[in-house]
Amino acid sequence: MNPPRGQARIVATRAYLPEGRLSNEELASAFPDWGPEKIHAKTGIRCRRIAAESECASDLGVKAASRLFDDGVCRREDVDFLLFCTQSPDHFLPTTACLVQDRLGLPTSCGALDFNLGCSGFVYGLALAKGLVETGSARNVLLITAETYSKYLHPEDRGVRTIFGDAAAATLVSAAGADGARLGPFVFGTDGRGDDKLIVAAGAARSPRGREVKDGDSHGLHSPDHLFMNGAEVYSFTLRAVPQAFRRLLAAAAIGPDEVDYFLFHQANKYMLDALRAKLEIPPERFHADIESTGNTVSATIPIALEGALESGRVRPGDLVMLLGFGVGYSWAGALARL
Amino acid sequence: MNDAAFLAELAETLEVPADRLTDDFPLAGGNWDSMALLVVITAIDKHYGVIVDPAPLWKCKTVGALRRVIDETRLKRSA
Repeated sequence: MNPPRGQARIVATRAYLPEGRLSNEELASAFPDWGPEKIHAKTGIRCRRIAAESECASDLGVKAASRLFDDGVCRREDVDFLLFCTQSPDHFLPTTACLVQDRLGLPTSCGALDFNLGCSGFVYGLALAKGLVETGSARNVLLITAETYSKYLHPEDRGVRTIFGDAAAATLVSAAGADGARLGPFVFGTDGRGDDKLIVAAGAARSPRGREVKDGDSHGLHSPDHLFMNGAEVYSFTLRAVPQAFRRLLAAAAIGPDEVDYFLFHQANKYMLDALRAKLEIPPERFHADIESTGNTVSATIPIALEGALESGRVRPGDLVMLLGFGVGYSWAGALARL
Repeated sequence: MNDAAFLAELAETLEVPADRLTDDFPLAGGNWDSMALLVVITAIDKHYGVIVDPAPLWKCKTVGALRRVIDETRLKRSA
């Protein structure tokens, strides 16, 4: 029998960062015309965490979820749906969520699926979880966002190697109680014209592997087998799409920005975050910008930021936060959450 | 004045004195890189209220060409 319906809320989130590290000093030794401080000044990053060769998204996701269980947030047997967001699945098939269900010891009555989104993935995942909870289809949804982009990066592409790091986060979404915690409204956006601006072109059904590396143009190295990013185009898209989503989300909730306690945007890089904060006129004390020790961890950046903000007291239970993810696809989504 | 403020930011990014940024100042190599492109996109948005596509900006060989792209974009957006 399906559980009774109720409004959804974020219960808790826990992150896991792999032990491997790539520091600015190591990058500078590979790319001598970019010193460590220059890299930090450009990106806001000093160190990225990198999964081991044998470590995949499922491994990171299992470790993140285990923190939720070990901290007593919920019991494994209480999870009745698993959403696994990744663009670096362990295999093309089977679904990585199925592997994770088994490794976490979740009940076999648990639903489980993968969905393929990047920087917008966490917010889309919250929307899916909200739908499951509020239709009475599930009571406790475990949303895992796990990414190992490092496995897609060409060793000579300094642009993307300075930006991206690996990580996972596990977030529990459950029916709301009497404390006022809520999830929503949401806004979404998609523009497939951005498909080739951040892409791993080869390796799946459309294009086989094994094509020669095409040497760099002004946008850096372009190898179909590796992650290609046209940073300027992605940046330009962000400056257009994010302010619109920001305004649409506030309008959907019929509130002004001053009524939002804290803004947690996708932590892409510090330059982009500073530009967005200035453009949206958000005071720095209410805007999260910290990827110094993680890099851009794609769909995990927002939950990592949320966990950090709660731990440090920048965000407290009862606060209204805006979560806004944007990037690869192009895809974007925003949500308000009363914690 | 928008032009002066924009040129001041461009000069800072290129690490040259602002008074050297005449229309025929070349944009090639050195500090004219992908990061400079982001700074220019941001500065154009801040000072002129338009977001310019990166591709035509990257093709600019001089400051004058950059200013023409900005003017064309502003004209198109206001039409």
